[in-house]
Amino acid sequence: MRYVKWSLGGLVALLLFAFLHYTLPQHDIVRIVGTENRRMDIGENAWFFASPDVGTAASTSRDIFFINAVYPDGGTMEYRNEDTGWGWPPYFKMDSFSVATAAKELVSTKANPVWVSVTHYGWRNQLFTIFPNAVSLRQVDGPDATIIPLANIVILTAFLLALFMMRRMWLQFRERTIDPAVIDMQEGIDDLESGARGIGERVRRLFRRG
Amino acid sequence: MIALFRLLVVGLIVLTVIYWTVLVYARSVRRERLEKEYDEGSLDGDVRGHRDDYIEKGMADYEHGLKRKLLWLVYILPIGTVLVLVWLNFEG
Repeated sequence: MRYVKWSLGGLVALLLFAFLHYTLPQHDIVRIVGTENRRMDIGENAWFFASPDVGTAASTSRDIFFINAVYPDGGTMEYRNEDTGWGWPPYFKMDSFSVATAAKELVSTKANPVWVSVTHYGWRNQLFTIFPNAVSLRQVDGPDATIIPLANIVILTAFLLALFMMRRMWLQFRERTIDPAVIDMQEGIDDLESGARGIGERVRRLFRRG
Repeated sequence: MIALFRLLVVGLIVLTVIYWTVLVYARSVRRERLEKEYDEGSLDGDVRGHRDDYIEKGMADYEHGLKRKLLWLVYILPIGTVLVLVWLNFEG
């Protein structure tokens, strides 16, 4: 039973971690080497793409902006650049066209690099052809620029606070509502038992007398 | 537009559930504190009065107090955050 409990707990923790890792913003410092927009027929990987841009019709085939980038160590990365609109995750990004323009402006060569901090969420996976979504671009001084993940600090703090409050609320509910009800019920059962014993005693006494 | 409508409906339902649970919790904590205050017996004679009256009066005071009004932050903070995010998006 203990193994089941620990496995289930571990599974929930893993899913929670994966969910947060996918959804929360991360920052990459990269050099943008190009942008493109590409017609995509989105199939099984639809989960990892946003919906069509705000105001456009729903379809599984549409043009998506892409940003091609290179890490300081030479590794490559491709970002998609899609509106999240009013949907999930709640970035309320509706400026994918502006982000595409900014990306075009920040394109640089290897000889004369411009380093850009790309705020993004999501994963790059070549097996399923999924891409992280670039939310915003900001030029930084160099590949070693420090970035304080302010949004993550705020969100995770709020999340922990919410967990703490939920525990407090549950304990309060148990103390003030469940426990008194259980005690009431037990007292009721006790009364019944003593009542029954009383009757039995009386009956026995009756027979003894007789 | 459908997405915005869905966000509004789901968001309001979620926020209302949070609001009510927090309200029930806050009332319960307040009532417990009033009970404990009374049972300690350190209250002055004229404030003391009957136990139920004391608690009901304390709860009524709470319902009109500032702390009760601060619970509206459950609605105000998330909606404000969303508005600020959307606005920043249009600015940037």
